[in-house]
Amino acid sequence: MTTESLKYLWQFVLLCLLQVLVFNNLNLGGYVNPFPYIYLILILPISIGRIQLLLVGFLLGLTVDIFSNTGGLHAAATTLIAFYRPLYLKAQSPREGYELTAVPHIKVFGLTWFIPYALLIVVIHHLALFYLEAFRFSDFFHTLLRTLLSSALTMSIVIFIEYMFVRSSRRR
Amino acid sequence: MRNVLLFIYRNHVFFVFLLLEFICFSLIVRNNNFHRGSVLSSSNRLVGNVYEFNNNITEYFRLKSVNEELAVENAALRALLKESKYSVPIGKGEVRDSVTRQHYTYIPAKVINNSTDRQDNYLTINRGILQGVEPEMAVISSSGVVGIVKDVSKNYASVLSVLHHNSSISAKLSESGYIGSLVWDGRDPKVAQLMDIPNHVHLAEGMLIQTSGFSAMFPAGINIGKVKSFQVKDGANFYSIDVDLLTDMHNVSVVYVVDNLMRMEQVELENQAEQDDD
Repeated sequence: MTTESLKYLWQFVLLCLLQVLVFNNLNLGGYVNPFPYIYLILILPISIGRIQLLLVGFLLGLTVDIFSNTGGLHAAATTLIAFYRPLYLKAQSPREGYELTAVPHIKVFGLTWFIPYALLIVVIHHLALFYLEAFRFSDFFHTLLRTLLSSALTMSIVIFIEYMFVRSSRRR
Repeated sequence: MRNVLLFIYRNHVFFVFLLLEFICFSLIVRNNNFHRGSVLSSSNRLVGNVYEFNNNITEYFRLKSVNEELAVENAALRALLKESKYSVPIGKGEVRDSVTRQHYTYIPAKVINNSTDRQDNYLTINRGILQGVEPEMAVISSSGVVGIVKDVSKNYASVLSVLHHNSSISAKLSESGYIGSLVWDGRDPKVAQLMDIPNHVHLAEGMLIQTSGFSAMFPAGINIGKVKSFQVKDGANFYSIDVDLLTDMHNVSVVYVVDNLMRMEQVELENQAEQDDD
């Protein structure tokens, strides 16, 4: 196992623990709960294989599921964004292609590139999660409001982490 | 055949994706099925240990309110002691023994994980099979109902909270004795809904709602909540009643698992009656 994969394994454990011990207990008015554990999906290297990414997404969601008694809700949503991420990156790829070692961070690609990238993934994840959880469309706007507010909070946390903890040594 | 294989090979990422999603959905469906028990749940030992460790740290922050709660409950229980009652001599010819027989026993437990912000909420408690907890036992706190045990491991149990889509508790208006069932619409964790109360019953805000004791889980007369608001939708025969829950589901920390000593007897009898109908 390379030091690089060890680093991601450590982040996997850390994000899962943060999610189940801190963020799952945060609830603001019963509406908003952020899921910043999907940050891991956002920052995996661009060169990662699609199958690998799917498996990481599945395991990440499943771990959170086991801790929060949600069956396969989170796993379904994280697998979906793990499938979607390479499609987005392919559609947005620069003419000369990505560098092999490129990692999607603000400090590498800039804020204007990162925000739409992260926002789309976060919103897709939260939409899938909240509608699967409600499992009906009768509370459509109630669920939509929860999705949007929670996505906004998750995004803020993701950007906070990006600025606080990503050292510039990872600059390409 | 060759073309089919080629097609699968070209789209293998998509098929892996479909396979994983299929697994997720079967887990979701399985989890929603109350009686089958879930494959993966927080009654799992590793998960239980992580939550217990976390709880050991965070419980210090709640000690004050927990102490107050327990003091209040102690006072209430003290009032029930034989010593605190005036003894009324019983009439001639009455036999005193076997008048009361133990029907319910209580297993105290600590909540080590809890959620209130989802559509389907669960609690994890630090008691399991070894301490006598079994699936479908009722869980109450000093202030009211909390939920029903879903899965158990050796030392932990996960509890299906009142705040869950599948939760349905037989409840009655304590004043008039009308029976309804308590459900939750997934919105406000402080407010549940009471169904099936016919619209001719007299209702007022603040009326007490208790468990009916009809199910084999909850003893009768455990507090649930108070009527918050009620209305009759056009043409409906039943009230829609919002109930303020007496238990603060967000802060519940000490609970009791109710062991109904005659549960098997009741369940078997009821099953027998249902089979005879078929």
